[in-house]
Amino acid sequence: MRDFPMLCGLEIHQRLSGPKLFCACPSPAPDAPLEPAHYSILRRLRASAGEGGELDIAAAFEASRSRSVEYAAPPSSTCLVEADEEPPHPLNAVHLQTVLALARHAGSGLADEVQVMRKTVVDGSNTSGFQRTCLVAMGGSLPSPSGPIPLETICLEEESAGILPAIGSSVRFRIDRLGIPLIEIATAPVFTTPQEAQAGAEAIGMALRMLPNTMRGLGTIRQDVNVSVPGGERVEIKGLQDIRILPLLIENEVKRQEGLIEISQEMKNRGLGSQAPLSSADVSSLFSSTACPILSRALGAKGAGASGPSSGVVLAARLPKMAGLLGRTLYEGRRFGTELSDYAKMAGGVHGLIHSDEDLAKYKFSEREISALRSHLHLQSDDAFVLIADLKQKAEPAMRAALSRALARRVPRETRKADEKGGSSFMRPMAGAHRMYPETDIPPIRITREMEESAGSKKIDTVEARSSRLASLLGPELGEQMLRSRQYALFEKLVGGGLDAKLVAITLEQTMVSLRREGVQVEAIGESSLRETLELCAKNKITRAVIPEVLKEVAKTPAASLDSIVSSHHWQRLTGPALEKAWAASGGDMRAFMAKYRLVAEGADAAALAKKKS
Amino acid sequence: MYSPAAERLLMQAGVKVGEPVIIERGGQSFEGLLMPRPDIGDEGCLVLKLKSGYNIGVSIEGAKISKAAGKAEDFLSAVPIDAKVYLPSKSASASDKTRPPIYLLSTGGTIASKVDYATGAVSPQLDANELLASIPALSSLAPLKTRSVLSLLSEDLLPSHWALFAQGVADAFKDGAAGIVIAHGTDTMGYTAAALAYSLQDLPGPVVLTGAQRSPDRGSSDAADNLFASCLAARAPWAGVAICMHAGADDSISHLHWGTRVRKYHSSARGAFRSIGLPPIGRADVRSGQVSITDSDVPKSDSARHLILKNKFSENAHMAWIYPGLTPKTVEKWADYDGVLIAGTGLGHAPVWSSEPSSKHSILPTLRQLHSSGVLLAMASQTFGGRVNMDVYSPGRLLQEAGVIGQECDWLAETAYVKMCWALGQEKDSKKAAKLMLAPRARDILPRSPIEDALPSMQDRLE
Repeated sequence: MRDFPMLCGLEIHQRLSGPKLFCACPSPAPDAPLEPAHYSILRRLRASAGEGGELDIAAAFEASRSRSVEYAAPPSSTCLVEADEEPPHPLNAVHLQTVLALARHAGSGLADEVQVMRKTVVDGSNTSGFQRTCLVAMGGSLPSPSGPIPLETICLEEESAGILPAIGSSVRFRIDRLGIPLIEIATAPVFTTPQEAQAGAEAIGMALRMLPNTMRGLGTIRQDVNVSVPGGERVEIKGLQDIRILPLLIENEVKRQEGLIEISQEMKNRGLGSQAPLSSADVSSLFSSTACPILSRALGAKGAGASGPSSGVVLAARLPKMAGLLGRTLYEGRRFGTELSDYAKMAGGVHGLIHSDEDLAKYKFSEREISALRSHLHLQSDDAFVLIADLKQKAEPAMRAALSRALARRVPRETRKADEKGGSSFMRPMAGAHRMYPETDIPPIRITREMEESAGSKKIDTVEARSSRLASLLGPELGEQMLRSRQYALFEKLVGGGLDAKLVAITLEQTMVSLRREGVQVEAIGESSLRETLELCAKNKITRAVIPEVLKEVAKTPAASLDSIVSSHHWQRLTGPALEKAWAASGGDMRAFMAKYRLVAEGADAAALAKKKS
Repeated sequence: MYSPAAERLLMQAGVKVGEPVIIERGGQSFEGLLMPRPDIGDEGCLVLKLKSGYNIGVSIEGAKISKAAGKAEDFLSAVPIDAKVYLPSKSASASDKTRPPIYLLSTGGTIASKVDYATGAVSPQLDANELLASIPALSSLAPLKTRSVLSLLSEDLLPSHWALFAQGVADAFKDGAAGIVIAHGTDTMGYTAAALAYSLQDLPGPVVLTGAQRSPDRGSSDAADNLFASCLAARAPWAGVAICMHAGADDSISHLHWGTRVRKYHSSARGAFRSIGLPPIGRADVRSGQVSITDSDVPKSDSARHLILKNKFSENAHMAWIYPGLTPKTVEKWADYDGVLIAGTGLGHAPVWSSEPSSKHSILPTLRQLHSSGVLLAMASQTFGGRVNMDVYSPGRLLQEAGVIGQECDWLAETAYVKMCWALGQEKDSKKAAKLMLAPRARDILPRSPIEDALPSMQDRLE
């Protein structure tokens, strides 16, 4: 057992609802499909020098892949700002106030002056080539069941564009998502177990839900995680979709870093000191009649036989004294060879690489081909090799990247992308401070005393306080449900309007949910129809039992007035003489009565009548 | 600049801009690199660049400042070593060294600008060589030579600068240029294009003006594409002055707008320029590297053609926009000028009160006086398209009688103003200058109005 197995920090990104951060466009709902009627804009992004006059390495890396990007721009939620055809409008003051209020709530120190920065991103996810972000506060903490979680920074930034399936070689994004405000909370690296990190992420997520305008729904909150182990490096993993996978993701990253440390130690033991860059050789001629489908496809590609950049080649390189290392398992499903392959894929756009620790028979190589290759590369028994087959212009950078990765002999500082199985793959080198430079289109924002005071006066519930209030209103079970509900804001609004909390909670959390399951178009039921329906019930004009029927009709005919729906279906609640008449007609039999008048009579009324008559 | 109080505190702590610093304030400590103060904002806030790259302003109020350990580089470099290999290798130039060069003249503007950390704003700083070095694809169009003529934002330009640019173009052709690209601010690029069209006669080859609507310090800058498209156009075999900029929002097609017929029509979009009264003369596609000159009236290039330079411009002409509320008192002040280009309403109108000629609001008597005292008065329309016709309504006829020229001209107001500066630079006498102005030159006054001007686009009509 190690006494200090790992340290892990979290970066939580939470979307805010309302207008976008730097323009007046509305933020689309998280699950809104891309409008079919949209403009399409074609762009090519380049790396540009940052504040220090140097290219950010991550940006240069992406730009070296020189792809063109296509942006889909639906006019209802995009304008010239998202299209990078107009400078940003001033930072939205309401969103800034929300973040300031959160910062005060967390006891963080506010910046005296907020400077919007440009964070270079050249993967195409931003039309401008950078993401706008600003540091609003530092320090502070948010409570969690296992104690306060110390925060490093609270930032306000713009959401990136949403990726769309590629068509051909063009990368496609939808820019309706671009510019949605995001609160970014970075915790200190305080979590020492995967479970702690998961609990921390959940606690922060809940704390963010206490804000008045957090957006809810799929993809509205994201967790990035950074992990370091002793002797390893700080590695950032992005794109985690499901928080339940977080512990496995962290566990695997710890295993990966430990595995890489062991491999570098082993390389040292084998006498592999720092050495000159490895070189590769064109071994296409050895495979001219190969049965390996990967190689023969590459060699048969356009222009084969010619020597231009778009001719197919097989490149091979000797990795001295590395036999057995490429096949070393880092965690389940990932070997050291896969790490090299990631670099090759990203740098050259190749499909992958083949290495000597793999089962070469599965590629249908002949014995003769392999022995020819081994003698061509002067391979010793303790050497390994790698093969890359593709167009020359792709294979060469891919091979260079793979070889440099093989020689790294440590854990590289990387940004990685999480997969659905709890693993991760290389995305780009870790971005340096170079990628940040000031957004000169927006003057610095002085945080005035008034802003500070107004932020401090906005009370944000603690999770505990809200939880106990809801429990006292609704009981523990329904209270917990409402605490986590997407409908919480609507619940507060309706209850604030004088409606009974339980009735509202049951309607929102149970009635609406079961109507949706029945296939009712609940989206068509507007907030005002819902309120009116509940008000009718509160005023004893309709029964509780008829509410689902009324809402069904509202969904069917949203334009019809509630009164006309109720009267045309004779859903008015029976009271007074009408009730007595109906009761009399059913011969005073409670069951028969309720079977007939279930929707228009309250059981309690009937019971009262029954009591009176007897 | 920081406030004197801030400067004093910094001096006491022995910290200079560009050095690491620790600021303690209200129980919190900020460590970062002290950055220069932008001109805007609170001068009592110190700007720190944190290790994360973020800049943050910390007020000196109640703050304790001390020097931090470490060097400036610690705050800027976090570059992993093995990432170096991914940088694209420079491709060898496949250029034909024996052919005549393209000259790239830089004059300033966004295309030649970068972030200025002293002021926090974008300002012109790059010279032609730096520009060229930043766009490797340009090497395929080599040889290229660069000259820095000026470094000004185009809103600051004077007519005397047009003369300087024309001289620069003439010199470059004399030195054997095949074509010339001028990097220019976009704001008044249309004026400069017209000025060059008038002052450079019988051009042997293309003169292409280009600029950027997004500064080159960002990945999405249009500078590189515009420059590349313009160099492509400058290698093509035609002669004349044109503006080459993005046709629209896409990084693909650039349009070539004829120098006397182009206006900046959008303040921020990439496709900022529109041809008026004459479709774009051609297009360049940066993806395929193809240029096509679609206008058959554009002359072919001819290196033997002898360029005539006439680059004198008057700096005493005025351009006046007609608007409701314009008074004779304002118009009286035009007497200070040698010429006034009137950007009139509609067909070329101004408040002359034709129905009530004795009205005190009428500017007609003042215009008559100006004309008789030798001020050159010319009319263009302030509308986006169309031709001046001062025969249709009586105000127009009164204006003509008062000596306002420009009848039947479809010139753009800016072009007509530049032409006035040029004509008055050539001829002091207002009558001779008027004659010079009215003689069509560089397709500034066209006999035909394109039918497309009055119709929806072909695309819309087909739908």
